[in-house]
Amino acid sequence: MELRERQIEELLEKAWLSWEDNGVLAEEDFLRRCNAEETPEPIKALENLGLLKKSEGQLKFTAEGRRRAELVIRRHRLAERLLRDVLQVHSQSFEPSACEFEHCLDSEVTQSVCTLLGHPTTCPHGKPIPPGPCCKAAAKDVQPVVMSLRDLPVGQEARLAYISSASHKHLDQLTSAGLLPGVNIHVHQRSPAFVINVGQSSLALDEQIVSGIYVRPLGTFQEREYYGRGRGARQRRRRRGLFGTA
Amino acid sequence: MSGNTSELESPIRPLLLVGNPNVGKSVLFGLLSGKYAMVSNYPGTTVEMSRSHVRLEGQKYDLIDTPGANSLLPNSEDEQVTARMVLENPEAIVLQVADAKNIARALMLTVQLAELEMPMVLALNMWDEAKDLHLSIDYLGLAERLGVRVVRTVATEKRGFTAVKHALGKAGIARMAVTYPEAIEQAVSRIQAKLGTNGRGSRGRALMILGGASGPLESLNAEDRQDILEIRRKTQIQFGEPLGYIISQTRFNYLGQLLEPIVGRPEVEQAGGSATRLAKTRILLAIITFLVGYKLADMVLGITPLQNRLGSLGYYLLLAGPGLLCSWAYQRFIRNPYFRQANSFSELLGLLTMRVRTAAPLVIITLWLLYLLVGKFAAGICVDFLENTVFGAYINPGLMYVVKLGVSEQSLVYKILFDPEAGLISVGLTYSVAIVLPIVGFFFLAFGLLEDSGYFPRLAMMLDKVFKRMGLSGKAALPMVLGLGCATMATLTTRVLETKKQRTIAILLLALAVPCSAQLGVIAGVLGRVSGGAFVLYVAVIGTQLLLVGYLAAKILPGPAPQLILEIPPFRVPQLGNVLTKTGYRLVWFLKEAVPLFLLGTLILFVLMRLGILAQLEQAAAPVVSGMLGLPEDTAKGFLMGFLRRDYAVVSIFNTYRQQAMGQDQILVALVVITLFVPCIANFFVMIKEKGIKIAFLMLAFIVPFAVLVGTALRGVLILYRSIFTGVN
Repeated sequence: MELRERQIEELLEKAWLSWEDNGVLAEEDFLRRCNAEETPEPIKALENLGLLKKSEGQLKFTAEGRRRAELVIRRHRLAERLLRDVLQVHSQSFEPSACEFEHCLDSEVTQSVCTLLGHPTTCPHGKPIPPGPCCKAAAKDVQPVVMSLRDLPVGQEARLAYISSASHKHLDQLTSAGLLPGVNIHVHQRSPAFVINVGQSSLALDEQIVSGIYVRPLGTFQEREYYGRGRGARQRRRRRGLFGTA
Repeated sequence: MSGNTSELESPIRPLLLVGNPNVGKSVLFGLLSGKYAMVSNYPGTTVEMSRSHVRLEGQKYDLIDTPGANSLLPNSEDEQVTARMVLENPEAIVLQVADAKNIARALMLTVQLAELEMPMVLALNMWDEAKDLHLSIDYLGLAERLGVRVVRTVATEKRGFTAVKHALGKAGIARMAVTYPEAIEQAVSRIQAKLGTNGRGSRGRALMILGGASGPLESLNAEDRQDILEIRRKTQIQFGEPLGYIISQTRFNYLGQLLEPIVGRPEVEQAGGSATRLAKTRILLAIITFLVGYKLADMVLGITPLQNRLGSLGYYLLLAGPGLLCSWAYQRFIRNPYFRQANSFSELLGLLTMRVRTAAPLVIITLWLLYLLVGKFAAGICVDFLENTVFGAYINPGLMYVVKLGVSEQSLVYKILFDPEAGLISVGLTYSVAIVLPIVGFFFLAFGLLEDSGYFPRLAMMLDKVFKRMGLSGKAALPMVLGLGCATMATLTTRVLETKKQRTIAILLLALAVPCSAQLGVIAGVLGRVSGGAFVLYVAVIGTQLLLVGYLAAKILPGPAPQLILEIPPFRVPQLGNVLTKTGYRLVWFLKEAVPLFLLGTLILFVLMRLGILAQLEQAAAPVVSGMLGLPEDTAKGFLMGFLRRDYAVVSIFNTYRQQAMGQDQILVALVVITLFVPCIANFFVMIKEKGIKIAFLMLAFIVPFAVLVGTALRGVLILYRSIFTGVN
């Protein structure tokens, strides 16, 4: 039977998730994820399209299959990020929307979204986003809406968007110190160590940890205000390397 | 059975003090119990629990002070202790102490207590600081919303304390119903079913398990435990982020809504900057910075013969130059708007101590004041008075007179007590009480002031980069500084460090290069009598050795690179009362701990001397002691005693110096060797306990020869230096 584009994408997505969770594309697991009523024989269907193949009794993606699956996943997870970090859609409602988005974003829009978000590497659930061509060519010439706390100017108020940390332990420590998505923070100083203010408490952090914290800057920041105005302010700004902000 | 126990309530109820770190639990403990618990201005002071039986408004409580915890999902050993205390005492009342300024963080803990269905009272402590920040908290609204008593307190000023006592009788379970994502909710109800029917607080326990805690699992049989872990695993698969993180995030969002109508922030930021404009502050800073410049120049130029050539007036005028320069530079610096944020002197100090350029002069001032207080005042004036007047003229002759009534001057008993070289009273007691006690007392006082100001975490942050070179994070500065108090205690507190590698390095460095307070106090006292330059040189030598060994250890030992996550408390003006009490408690501890060891050491020395073993030991050590280090042979005695008490060694060397048997350079060499040399016996036992016998001995095998080598090298450098200068003159 003929499959619609949308159904193919759904199947590829499920195959990818199964592969991601298990490390291999396990037939049983994949079938369990698929809705049997919608597509009765998903493996056969994909094999016919040249997207999956069986070699040595093991189900695998073909090159084309992998490429397309990657794109679907990439669109889905970028959409999740967009909905949650930029549009501030919370709770469960962003998930179904992201599912819709993954089918309708074309490659140009996908690239723009990725650039807007600052080429994120993980989705809000912490799973990896497959990188696109724009990520590889990512230069720092576009000011992303979500940026690493490391690049945030000293004194600029920002809202924590997400934390990407390799270590659960660090994540727990940061969480219990009050660093959670949604809190307002600002960098108090960068040297000799980063000190950030969360509510009424200050936290000294490593640069490496700070780089993994992503924030949305709030309002337009005027450096001038923080460094003073009037006579001598310009000189001071020029000299601010002296105060540890360079 | 007496009539009283027929009441429904059990006569003694556990009362747990729970709260985030550094919010004042221990102060409240002290107030409620009338006992003293160590209180400082940095997180992690309460390592072990204090408990006390108290009677408040007729009800008897077993009051327990727990270590600070940000969450009952334990991340560190401290938090584990707190989580266990809460789980093991389900019938307890919880007095949650909160920092009113950081109420959202405190309520994260309240949610967990509510889910565990613990009856509680919430004390919003540091209410004054919140008020200073113009935060308005509708505490009555909060009490109504939560359905528990909420009390405002300022524990350090004993305010709100009666209200707390009163509220405890009416403790209730907080009303907080957080709804988690569907998958977690399902897992929770499945785990709850497994946890059984006696399930008060089973929802809280289930959430703790999902968050990764193992505590609530301990009482279960193996099969149930497996099932529950399986549920957790399956739930985790549905989320990319750790479950604990998702749970925290849900709670946080819930609290955001809850607090919305309760906490009001000032619309307009207060016009900052009064501190830098205050005439008092400016004049004070000008004077202090002038003195710093002056003293720095003095230290640099003091070791050159410039002073003799210019005459004293010319020399002082010369020093005033750098003083003025320093003062001017600092004044310019402070005008930076960054420092204008400060509204009070302590806030300004808080900002100043967080920048390298402004903190460095402060470190110098602090060290200098420490040197004046401990080295000049305590070790000079106080020791002279105690030793020569109190002991020399009254106590010792008096005791001698009394003892002579009973036994003759030739008898063994008299010798044991009054032998001029190793008598229990003439040496042991006199050393410990007349020499060490005043020095250590003033050191504890200074240390307590610094501790309570909140300076140490700032120092830790400042030193992070340096410590990274040694394979440690800045956090390790806390045990190191504590090591200046007592290396044994500090070795135990290395538990706050996250990795094994960090702990090993910290323990090694503590044993090698960090002198404990008694030793440091005596060293500062001794060097204070020699010269300020000698003190600087001593600090420089020990500092470089610390860096060198740390650097090498970091290269050799395998392990991940350290990462810094450290909370910085606000800078506070220390409360003299608390500092004095703390110093008092530390002195009592010193007397109990050290004086008996001093006496034991003296007795051993006496026996060794009598049997002639000491002379043999000295002879055996002569090639090293006098050959390599160029010290008088009987310093070997000091090194030997150093193993019993580190400060004993220093005092014994000090005495040799006072008898003119040692020159300035010799005493510097001796002190450096003693500092690096073996850790005291108590420290060594703790090292064995923490790292095992093998590693402890390996460390010892490295430390002893290394100390001697450094001493020999220092002697060589000093000889070279002297020969150059005498050549020039």
